[in-house]
Amino acid sequence: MQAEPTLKSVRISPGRRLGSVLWRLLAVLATAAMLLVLALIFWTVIKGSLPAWSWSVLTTPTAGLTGGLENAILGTLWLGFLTIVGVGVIGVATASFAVVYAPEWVREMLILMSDILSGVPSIVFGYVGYMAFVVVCGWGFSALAAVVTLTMLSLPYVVRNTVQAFDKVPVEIRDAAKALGFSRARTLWSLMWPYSLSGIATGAILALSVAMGETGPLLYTAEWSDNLPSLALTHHSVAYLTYVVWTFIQQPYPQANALAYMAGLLLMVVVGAMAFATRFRAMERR
Amino acid sequence: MVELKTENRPMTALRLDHVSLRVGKHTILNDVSMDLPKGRVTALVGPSGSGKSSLLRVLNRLWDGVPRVRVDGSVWYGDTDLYAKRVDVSVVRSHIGMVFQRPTPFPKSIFQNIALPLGVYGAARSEIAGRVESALKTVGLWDEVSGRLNQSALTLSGGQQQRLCIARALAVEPTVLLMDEPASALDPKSRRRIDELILSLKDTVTVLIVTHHLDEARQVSERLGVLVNGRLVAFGETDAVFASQNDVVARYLSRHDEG
Ligand SMILES: Nc1ncnc2c1ncn2[C@@H]1O[C@H](COP(=O)(O)OP(=O)(O)OP(=O)(O)O)[C@@H](O)[C@H]1O
Ligand SMILES: [Mg+2]
Repeated sequence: MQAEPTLKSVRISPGRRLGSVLWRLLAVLATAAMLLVLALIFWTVIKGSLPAWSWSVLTTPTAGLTGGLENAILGTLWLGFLTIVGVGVIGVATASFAVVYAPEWVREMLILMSDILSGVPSIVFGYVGYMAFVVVCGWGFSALAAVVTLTMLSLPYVVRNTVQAFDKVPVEIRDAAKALGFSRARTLWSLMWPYSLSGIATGAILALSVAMGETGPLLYTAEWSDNLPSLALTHHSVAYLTYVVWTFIQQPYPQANALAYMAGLLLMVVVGAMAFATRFRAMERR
Repeated sequence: MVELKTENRPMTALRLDHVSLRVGKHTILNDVSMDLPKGRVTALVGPSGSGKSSLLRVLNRLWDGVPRVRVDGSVWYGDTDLYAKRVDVSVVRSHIGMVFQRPTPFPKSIFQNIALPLGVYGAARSEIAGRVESALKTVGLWDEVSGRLNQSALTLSGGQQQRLCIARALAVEPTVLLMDEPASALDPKSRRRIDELILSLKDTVTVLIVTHHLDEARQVSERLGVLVNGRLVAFGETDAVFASQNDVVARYLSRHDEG
C-alpha cells in the first residue's frame, strides 16, 4: 500500500520558488547586458562609419589612407576562400584519420594536439608563419603564406566539429557497414561524410569566421597592399579588412577613421551572417 | 588441424573449433566448439551477458580492429580458417552476413540501402535494380515499398526497417546469415513475419540466430546451443536439448518457460 500523495508534497515550497525567480532574473539581466554590449558595438561602428557610406567604398581600392575598401574586401574574401578550402580538406582528413583509421591513443593524441593548437596565441602563428613560409620557404609576403598560417590557426575548429559529428554516427550503423564488407574508405565516403555534413559545415564556417577576424598573423604573412589581390599565390602582398581596422583607426585623419569603422562593420556583418547560417542549420536539424 | 581438410564434411557450413574470445584479461567466450549444419537454422540461447552477440561477431570477424581483443581457435568455412593469415575480411563478410538486434538502415533511400552493398561487391550496374527487387521480394517488403524506393529508409516502420536490413544482408547472397535477436525490438506480428522469413530461407542459407524467446527457438531451429557464461553448455538437436537433464541447461530452459 502506498501513502496517498498529498497536495502539500506536490506544491513548490516558497523558498524554491523565490530561488527560481532570482535565477530567472539573473539570467534575464545577463542576457540584457550582452545585448547591450552588442548594441553598443554596432552603434559605435555604424556611427563611426557614416562618413564612409557610399557605393564607391566598395568599388575603389585604398590609396594611402584614403580611397575605398575594394582591395581589402576582395582580399579578405580571397584569403577566406582559400583558407576554407585548405582547412576543410586538411581538417576533415585529420578527423577521418583520427576516428576511422588511427588506434585509440593516436586519436586522443591528435585531438589533444588540435586542442593545444587552439590555445596558441594567434600572434605566435603569425611569427611562425613569417619565419617558415615568408622567409624559409621564400614565398615572400603572399596569399599562400597567409592562407597556410590561417589554416593552421583555424584547423582545431574543423577537427573538433568533425570528430564530434563522426562520433554521433551510431555504432550499430558503423558495425552494419563493417558487417556488409564496407572498407573503411567506403564507410567514410558512403556513411560518415554524408551523415556529418552539417557538423563539418558548422566547423568550417566557424573556422572561416575566426580566420577572417584575425589581424596579427596576417600582418606578418600577407603584409598589405593598395592593389587588388592577384591570382599569384606567392610574392604578392594582399590587402584585408582587419588591416584597415587595425591601422587606419590610429590615424589622425577622420577619413581614415571612417574607413576603419566601415571595414569593421563589413566584417561584423559577414561573420554575423555566417554565424547566423550555422545557427539556422542547427535549428533546422532539430 | 590439417586433417580437417581431408575430413571435409560437406554438410557443415561453419565449424567453430575451440574458439575463445578475450577482451583484455576478460574471457568472454571459453573454448566453444560447434558445427552449423548447411542450410539449416541453428539457434543460440542463453542468459544476458553470456556472450551470444560476441560469438556472432567472431564469425564474421567483426572484432577485427577492436583494441585488446584476442580470438583463439579456428572458425572453419569449408576448408578455410577464417582467422588464417591472408584471408580477405571483406570476402568473409560477403559470404557471412549479419543482422543486428536493432534495425540499422543507412540514412539513405530504400533503394540505396540495398544497392550500396551490391556496389561494394562489384555487381554490374545493369543487374542492381533487379537484385534489389528480388531481395525486397524475399523479405516480403516489395509490395509495401515498390512505389517509394527513393524515399529515405528512415521513413519505414521498425519492422519494415528490420526486414530491409535482412534484405540488404541477403542481397549479396551470403551462404551464412547471422541474426542477433532480429525480432526482439519488434511487435508480435512483425516478429512472426521474421520467423516465417527465416523458415523460408531453409536450404538456401545457413542461419545462426540468437534469441531470448525459447518458443521462437523451438519453432525455427533444428539445432540449439545454450551458452552460459561464455561456455557452450549444450549443443545438439533442438528437441534433444530441450529434453536435456543437464542441470545448468534444464535450469536455464525451465526458468524461461515459466517467465
Ligand atoms: N567491446 C567489448 N569490450 C569488452 N567487453 C565486452 C565488449 N562487448 C561485450 N563485452 C562483454 O562480453 C560479455 C558478453 O556480452 P554479449 O553482448 O556477447 O552478451 P549477450 O549474450 O549477447 O547478452 P544479451 O542477451 O544481453 O544481448 C559481457 O560481459 C559484455 O560486458
Ligand atoms: Mg546480445
